[in-house]
Amino acid sequence: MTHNGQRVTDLDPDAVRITAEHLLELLQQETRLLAEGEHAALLEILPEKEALARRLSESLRSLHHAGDPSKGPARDRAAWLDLKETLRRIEAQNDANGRYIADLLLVYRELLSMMVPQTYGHAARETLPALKGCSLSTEA
Amino acid sequence: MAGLNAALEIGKNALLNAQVQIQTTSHNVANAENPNYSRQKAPTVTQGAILGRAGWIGAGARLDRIVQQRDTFLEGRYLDASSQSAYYGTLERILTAAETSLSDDGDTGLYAALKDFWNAWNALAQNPEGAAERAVVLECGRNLCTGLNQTAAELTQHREGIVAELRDNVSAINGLLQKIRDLNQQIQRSETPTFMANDLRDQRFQALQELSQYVRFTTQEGTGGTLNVFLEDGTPLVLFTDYAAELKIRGDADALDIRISDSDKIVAQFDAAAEEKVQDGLHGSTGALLTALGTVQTWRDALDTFASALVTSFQGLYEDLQIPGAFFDPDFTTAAEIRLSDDPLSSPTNALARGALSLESAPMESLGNLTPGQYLTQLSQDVGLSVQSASTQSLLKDSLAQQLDAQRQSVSGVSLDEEMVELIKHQQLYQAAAKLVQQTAEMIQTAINMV
Repeated sequence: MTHNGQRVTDLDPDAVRITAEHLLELLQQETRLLAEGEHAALLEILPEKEALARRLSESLRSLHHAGDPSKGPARDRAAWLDLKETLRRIEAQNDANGRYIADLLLVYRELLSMMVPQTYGHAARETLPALKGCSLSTEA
Repeated sequence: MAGLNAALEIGKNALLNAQVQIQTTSHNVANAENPNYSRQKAPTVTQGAILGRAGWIGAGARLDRIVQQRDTFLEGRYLDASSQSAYYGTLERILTAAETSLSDDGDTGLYAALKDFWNAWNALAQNPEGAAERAVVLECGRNLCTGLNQTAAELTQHREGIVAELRDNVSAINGLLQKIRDLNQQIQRSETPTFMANDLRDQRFQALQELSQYVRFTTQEGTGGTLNVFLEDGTPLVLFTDYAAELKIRGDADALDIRISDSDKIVAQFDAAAEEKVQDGLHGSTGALLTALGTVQTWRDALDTFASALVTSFQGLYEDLQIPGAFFDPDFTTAAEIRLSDDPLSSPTNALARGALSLESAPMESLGNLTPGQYLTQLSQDVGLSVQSASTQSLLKDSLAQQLDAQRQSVSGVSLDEEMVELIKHQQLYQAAAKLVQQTAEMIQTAINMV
């Protein structure tokens, strides 16, 4: 611990990078689970993901408070660049996962809006659109 | 006799209905492996009734029409997801191929050539008069230039390959748009308010599915069974039976655009010199090719920036130290052209070697305040990130398209088990109707014999 109670590991870009890499691995696992449709397993990794994200966020804040790492010694600069690269990968992976979930939600939302059409507002329709020739025939 | 005749008529109609139903089932079974085929059914409705002595007496059944089992919502979502999957799949393929030119493991590639270059200067700083050290600096400088020249040439080749693929895509899109318009014509001619041209609709869906690989579009059902196709911004691609847009591609790997031939409206463009290089209104694999073209151009620009920074910084060093000449030829500042000057080390001094070596760790403004080594590392990381991003998106979009296709198939696909059940049901129906005809004929014969 430092004099103001700050953990030493929070001020070491290498240590923070290890946390970031764990989070990246978890996000890659999340991608695989999303692709395979293992939605139940997603909930299992959620607590760990949240904990890692919170820890990473705190560590990054501590790093910034301790001074600009990119202006430190060469070793710190290199470690900081590596950390920044890992953070960019995390952002890209998280963005991809988020967009997939949003796309999937959109499909279900559109499906629901077909079943429960709006009755007020600009998009209001009196009846469902005619689906001549393409409708799903209902069988007796 | 009138009642017996009616029974005979009902039996005959039931036989004919069963024949059509068996034919429809056979058609389904024959197309079980065709992923673009939508299952058909031939449902019957009651024929109506005749007023008799006991009231309204049923007059049997007739075939309503042959309907397809389709779900327009799932089909629309599937086509959209398929287009996005094609976008990221193509982007991943092209960027992975281009990545090989810029991949750097630290031992080979540009980063290693740069490291060798600085090491050679370091050795020269130890012994400024050494002929061997001098030769090594020249050799490493040449290697670095050659590395940059080759990488730039490879990226140019990639760009030309992308443009060739774009031309193929545009040609395929034009063919598909015409095919959809032609199918619209055939469908309109073949359909009546009661009967639908199911197989032509399947062919049109197949064409739409192929089109979704190239562009992202929306559809709107028109009159007479026609289907209108629009780009996302509302630009019409196919209208009823009259119009199929023709796309034209103009330009080369430096600047090109894709426009609608008759209206001259630009739907997608690429300009290597512009800040925003790509404007994509097509998406699908065509949009991905344009995006890849922009990304590869960005990498190529980054290499040019790197080459220019090297040339400029060495030129500045020579000027500061008042050494005549230049290490890199100042007339060639791009990655494709960078080369050593005719006499790069006319008067090697310790100061020059130390000055050159100081450039290794000097952040350069033109490189975004990064050292040359850091800049190359960041470029390599950018390339890796672009590929990783495209790969992740491709995996997820592909999964979404597969899920939607599976749902679509569960509605429209042929289930052999269900078809076998249908077949047995229709066979029994046929046998029962035949028995009915046979019994009624015997009864009519009895009635005739009574006279």
